[in-house]
Amino acid sequence: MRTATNRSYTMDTFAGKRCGFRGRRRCGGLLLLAVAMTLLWSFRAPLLRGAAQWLDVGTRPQRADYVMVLNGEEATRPFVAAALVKDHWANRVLIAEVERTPDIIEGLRSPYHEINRRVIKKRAPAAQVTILPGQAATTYDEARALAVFLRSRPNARVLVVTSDYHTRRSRWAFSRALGERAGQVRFVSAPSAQFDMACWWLDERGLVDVATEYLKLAFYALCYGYVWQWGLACAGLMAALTWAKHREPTLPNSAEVSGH
Amino acid sequence: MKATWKWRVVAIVVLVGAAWLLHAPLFRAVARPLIVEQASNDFNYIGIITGVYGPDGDRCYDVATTLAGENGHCRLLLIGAGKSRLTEVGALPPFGQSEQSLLARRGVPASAIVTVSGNGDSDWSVSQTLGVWLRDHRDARVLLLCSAFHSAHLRDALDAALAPSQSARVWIRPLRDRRFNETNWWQCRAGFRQFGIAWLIRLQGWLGGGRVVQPEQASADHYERDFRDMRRSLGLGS
Repeated sequence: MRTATNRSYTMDTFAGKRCGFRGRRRCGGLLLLAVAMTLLWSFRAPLLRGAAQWLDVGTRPQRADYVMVLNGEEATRPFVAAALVKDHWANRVLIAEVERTPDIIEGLRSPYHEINRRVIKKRAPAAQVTILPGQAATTYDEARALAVFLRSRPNARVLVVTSDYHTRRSRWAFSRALGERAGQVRFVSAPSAQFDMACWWLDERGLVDVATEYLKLAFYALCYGYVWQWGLACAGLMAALTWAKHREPTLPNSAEVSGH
Repeated sequence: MKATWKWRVVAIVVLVGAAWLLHAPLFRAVARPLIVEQASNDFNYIGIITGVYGPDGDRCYDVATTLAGENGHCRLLLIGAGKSRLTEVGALPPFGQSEQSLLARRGVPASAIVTVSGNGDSDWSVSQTLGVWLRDHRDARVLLLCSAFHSAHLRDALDAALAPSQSARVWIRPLRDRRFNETNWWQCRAGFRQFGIAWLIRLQGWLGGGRVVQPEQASADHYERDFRDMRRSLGLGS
């Protein structure tokens, strides 16, 4: 009788301790989360600005054989390419042919490569423009088109012009597509004109361009990434989960408590 | 493996299985809040938004022409960004020119077309441009054609930018893209992209952003000068 009473008393005590410990841990976790959220909200402007700046890996131009304009943002990129030609960084321009979407086929709009070519011919008439065949639909396709072009020009150096927030993904795609020849390519940022990079999240276009750029980066890592990178990421996640599990304190079980 | 972990794994498997089985109705449900459809026959203008959320393969010129044919008194209203660097250097025709020729090919006379230009082509800029025009045209009632996944956000922008009396004179007709609609958007890449962008903009609208009026585009010379100045200031070569 006494043993049974003692046993029940002891189990309740430990059960209470366990609940209290878990409750305190949950409260602590919630408090930490609230503090983290408050800090994130307070410093959202520099954090978001930093997030956009991280995407820009443009470098100083160097004298090169070609300037390649990536398609899209035709109100900025070809103007920068033309400026580079006018400043004698290079005198030949490469543009990848884009795929023919339904609106292009129906004549609703001109293809990007055609608009880019027109801008360069207007702004830098001396430039020799070459359209790289390939019906490119993505940045990676454009990188592959350049890789094919460079096969017969092993020493050619290329300045790739693209929007500032697009340079990181482009650099990654080009290094994948070009392999050992990636060193022949440098990236020059074309400043965004549709929105202010210092407060991109307040503008519709800024939000779309910068936020989707991060999604595209993730997509590129998934589709074109190295297997070892994914292996490393999975191993890191497993290690973190194992560490978190072993961090949980081991409380004595009921059998040990009751002396059985 | 402990019993609790076994149950957790079973629960996850069941959840994933259920999500897989129910993915179509789930995806349809999450696309529905993006679309606003307002039926009206009481309009005398059919609005077409040109530019980034404009007629990107959604056959808006065909729909506009058909509607104008059904309502003989209707005129077509082209709304878009007026000046741009691309038109300035002659890489693109001036605003309205190519749209008018597309409509002319479909039998719409130039006299039935009105062009209204503003600074930008975002939903917010379009709403502001339309607001100014509606103030000067008090008898105008506009049926606005727009891409389906942008229709709800455009409605919000119109309601925020226009006076209630003006907003009540604008209806929205969402146009489904030929490649996808709200019942199958997840089956193609363009659908995925449009869906994601539409939700991003909608969330931003709810959080109070997006109401930035786009500035007028700088001239080509100005932009080149800014580019060189910026490069110099960052020490990236002269």
